[in-house]
Amino acid sequence: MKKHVFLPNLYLGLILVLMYLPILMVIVYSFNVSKNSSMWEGFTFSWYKELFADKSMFEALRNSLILALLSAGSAVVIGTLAAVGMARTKLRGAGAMEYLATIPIMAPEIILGMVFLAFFSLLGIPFGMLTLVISHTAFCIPYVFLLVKARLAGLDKSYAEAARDLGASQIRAFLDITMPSILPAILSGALLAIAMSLDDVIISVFVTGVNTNTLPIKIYTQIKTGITPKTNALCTVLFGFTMLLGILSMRKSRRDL
Amino acid sequence: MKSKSGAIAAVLPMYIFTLAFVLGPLIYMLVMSFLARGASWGITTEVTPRNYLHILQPAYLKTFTQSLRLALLTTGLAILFGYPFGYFMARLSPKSRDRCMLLLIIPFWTNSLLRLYGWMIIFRANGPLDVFLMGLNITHAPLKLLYTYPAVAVGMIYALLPFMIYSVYASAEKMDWSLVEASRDLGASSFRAFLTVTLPLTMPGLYSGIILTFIPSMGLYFIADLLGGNKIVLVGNLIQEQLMRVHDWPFAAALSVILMLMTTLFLFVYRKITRAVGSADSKLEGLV
Amino acid sequence: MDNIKKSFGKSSVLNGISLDAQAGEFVTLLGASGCGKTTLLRIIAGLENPDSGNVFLDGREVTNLEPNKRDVNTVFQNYALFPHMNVENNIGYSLRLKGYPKVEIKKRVSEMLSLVQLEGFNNRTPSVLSGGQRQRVAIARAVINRPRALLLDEPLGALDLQLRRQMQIELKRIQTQLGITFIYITHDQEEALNMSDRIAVMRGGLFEQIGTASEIYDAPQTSYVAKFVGNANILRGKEFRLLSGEAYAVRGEHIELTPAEDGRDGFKAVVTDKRFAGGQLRLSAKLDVNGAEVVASRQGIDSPLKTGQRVLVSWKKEHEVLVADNEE
Repeated sequence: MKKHVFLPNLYLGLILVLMYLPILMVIVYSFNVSKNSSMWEGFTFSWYKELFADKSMFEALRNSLILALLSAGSAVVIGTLAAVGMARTKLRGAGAMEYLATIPIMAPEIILGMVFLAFFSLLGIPFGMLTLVISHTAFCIPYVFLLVKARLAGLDKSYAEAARDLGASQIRAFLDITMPSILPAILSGALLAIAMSLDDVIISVFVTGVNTNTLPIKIYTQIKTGITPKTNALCTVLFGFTMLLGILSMRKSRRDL
Repeated sequence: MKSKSGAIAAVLPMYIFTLAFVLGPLIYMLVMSFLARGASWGITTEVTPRNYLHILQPAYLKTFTQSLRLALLTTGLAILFGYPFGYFMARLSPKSRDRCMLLLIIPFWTNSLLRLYGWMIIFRANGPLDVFLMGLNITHAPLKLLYTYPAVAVGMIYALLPFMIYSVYASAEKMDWSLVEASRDLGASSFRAFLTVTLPLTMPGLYSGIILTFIPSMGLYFIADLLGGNKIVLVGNLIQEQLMRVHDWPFAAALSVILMLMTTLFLFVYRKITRAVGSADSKLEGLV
Repeated sequence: MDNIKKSFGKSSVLNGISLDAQAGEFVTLLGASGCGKTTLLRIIAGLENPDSGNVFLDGREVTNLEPNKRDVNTVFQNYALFPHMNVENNIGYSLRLKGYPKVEIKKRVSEMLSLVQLEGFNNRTPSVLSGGQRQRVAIARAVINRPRALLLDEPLGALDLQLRRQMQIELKRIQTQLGITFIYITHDQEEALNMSDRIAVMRGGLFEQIGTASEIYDAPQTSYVAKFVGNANILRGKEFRLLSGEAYAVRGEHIELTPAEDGRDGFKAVVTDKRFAGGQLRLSAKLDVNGAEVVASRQGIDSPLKTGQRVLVSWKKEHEVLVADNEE
């Protein structure tokens, strides 16, 4: 069966190259001297200097990080508790609730943006960090919940029972036995939630206030107003972060195995 | 175990959050879609079917069909490019599989705007693509692809292809390849073996890939916005425009309700199909 | 245990069960799968609550006590060794919960390891152990606390035959050495007969018969017990001068088959099958009078009787046991 490997490998390689092509373009042009032309006019670091001098950029970055950590954090607490609780007893209406809770990742994002915008203005909640955190938490919960739930479903109940049998209280058995087994699921749920929060622009655009910019919103408005190498520089820095995160989480999951 | 109180306390935060911030807004959207808009801003309490009738205007209907067409095109092309990728990837050695996965994850984790921006650079007039094509003498003038339909399609496929790849890969990786060998042994050509064994067994992955590409492709308005300029208007753009520029919130709500219904219907059909496929799976197991 | 009842939804699993185990006794709950024995064990352990009835331990009622508050430990069917802890931490888990000093725990764990003959396995993880070794660790973990009673749920089910025989002896030795009450669940009559002081045969959520191994084997009270323990032949009907609801149980080794020409007393029959199974030769014969099938077992690998041959079936009067017929 190992005969035809050349063509498949060529195909895989080609698609992967296409995946990286736009990213590569962004990086290359971040070093271009020319501001408007797509012609290569020489190498420069000046766009990075300009980027790091821009205070609003750092503020947007800070907002994005706070937002991601707060919403992923709440999602981890809410989602994990719910998955554990639902695994423990069969509650009435649990199925319907599960469906409702996962709507935020199933429905098109634009709908979420729309309903949050309308709902928050109905309630009179001022748009800003609070509304951002609530709406990001809404679409972060399903990731944590579903991952932890799947892990719990694959978990042998008799481990926790054995701990109870050997003298552990319910809480102790949960901390000693269940927790270590679902921890990887919680962590990957949290990472996924952070990634999704950092990436979101559609929902954020609708629910953010005038003074609260997140990095994606900032990039979005910059791209809309025109292509400048400064945006490229910002994107390149961002990409570097992603690489770092991806490699770290890869390392971690390998150790877990 | 003894009492349900612990479990109830544990699920309570999610119940409350979901009811307050998922169900609540959705109900409000539904209610609002039947209300009339205020003179310049906001809503009145007048109940009217006007918003839904409004959608039936040819201009808006066209937006829906255009959206659906693009979503179908995107999904179709994602299958075309993504299925072979997932399939070939599952056949790699475990080590190369890991490496391939890492290579896939990095762009996936990369901010989607960044990747879109890359395409804007490639497509713009006299950009790298034009330089490349004109250099090879394939074209002689800039294609001016940015802000065209093909650019939007490329952006959509590019954004959603990883979902298709993961889904197909996940089910192809779980597949027992000895089944393919068995069918080859029983006289099937490799193409027949693919059609009769591999394809049915990876169907669940294909279906979930379709879900994961089709549903978002209806709502990714910012791709059409950035790569299509104002020329390509999808349902998502229409909703955004009604909300932010025209300030006709009830109409935006009605559009969202319709989009939501379409999504739900699609999910419902998907559930039905996967259940049918699931039973076919167990039947196959019985035969083997 | 007194009059335990339990049902899940509409299906009732235990229908009023009472059993009194003496201190230091080896009691086996024997029954086919689905008879409710695991549920009963889980009720004793406190992992399940009975709908009605009471569980007593040393005269103290523990029916509604949490499992961690009961002086009873369990060896689970799949052993349930914590995969993320090594052998030492698994065995020492209950002592750690009680806050024993580290030195003390280490000492007691080594004692336990030598009891189950696994000295030096302290730092291995469960995943690298063989089935038999896991079994021993599970036992050590459950007895380190010196519980009043140890509950064992088909602990030998996953082991191969040879290891099973060896572990039977081992388990009996550990039990005698520790003097703990063992409540042992199995569907294997050989295990039950080999190890138990008393056996309780369970069926459909009820005890069919409780007694010593020899009482159960030699004096079964019902046709089900006679058949389940030792595969006795059940003979019923007026041909044997039996009333309805009565039956004779006759063990295979007591059935005589002689060629029809011998002219001895007996029931006319024809040999229908000849098989060598489980170290014994089994001959099946179909009785002319009512078409019932009897199975005779013999030592040795072959017999002069052939399939299809006419024979006479007989047994000595002292080998027939009158039992209540409670089967179809």
